Amino acid sequence: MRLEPVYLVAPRERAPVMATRRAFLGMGLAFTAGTLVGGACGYSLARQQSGSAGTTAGGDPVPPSGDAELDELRRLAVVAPIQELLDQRLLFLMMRERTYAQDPVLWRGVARLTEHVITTADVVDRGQLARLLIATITKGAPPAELSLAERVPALREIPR
Amino acid sequence: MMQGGGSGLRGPQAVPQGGTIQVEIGPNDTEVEVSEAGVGTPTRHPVPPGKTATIPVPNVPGGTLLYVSVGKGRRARIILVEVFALLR
Repeated sequence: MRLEPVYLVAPRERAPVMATRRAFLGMGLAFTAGTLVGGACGYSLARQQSGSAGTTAGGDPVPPSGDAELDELRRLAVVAPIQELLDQRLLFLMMRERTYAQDPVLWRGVARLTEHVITTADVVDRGQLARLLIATITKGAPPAELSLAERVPALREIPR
Repeated sequence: MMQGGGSGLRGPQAVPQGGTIQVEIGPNDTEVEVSEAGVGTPTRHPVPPGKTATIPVPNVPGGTLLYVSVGKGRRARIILVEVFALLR
């Protein structure tokens, strides 16, 4: 009896190949979907960034006003470092009273300046700034909750 | 003594009651605005560009601070001028 070799190895099955056309369509759909999702996310992020003046150091959101100039002043008032507010003090105080006298957020910037000038001795032109703040507080109508009128005696004690 | 050198607006640091404020403005501005600190409503004074303007001091008490400005919004240039009382 003679044994014949039997080869059991079948030809390797070819991996199914996606039709070129279907693959192209799939890639196109994936690209379009990615573009749409990315665009929507970018748009909503940009809206969020541009529509708000930011958040205060305490995390309180600053309400967007729809007026870019007012939003920038609000950012200076409650978000910006005190040195930036000091650097812009003339512009900030003048625009607050000439253009946005009723804005309560800007009064918080006046309060920040007031506290800083009372508690910090080495502010540039400290006496002049104190007198400017006295005029701002006594001739304006600051929100009662800021108690700015109570700070006027301390401002008056600052030497010229 | 002048202040505001190089900013497109130059003027005195202090002026007497009843006097005038002489300010030099740059070539791009045609109007100077003056307001009393704390009050808000400015008076406007047309000025030929690149010229010196002579603005009457508002009728305010001695010690009052005045904002003198040219330009609008955040591009405004500002100097602060003090009004002092004349001894009588």
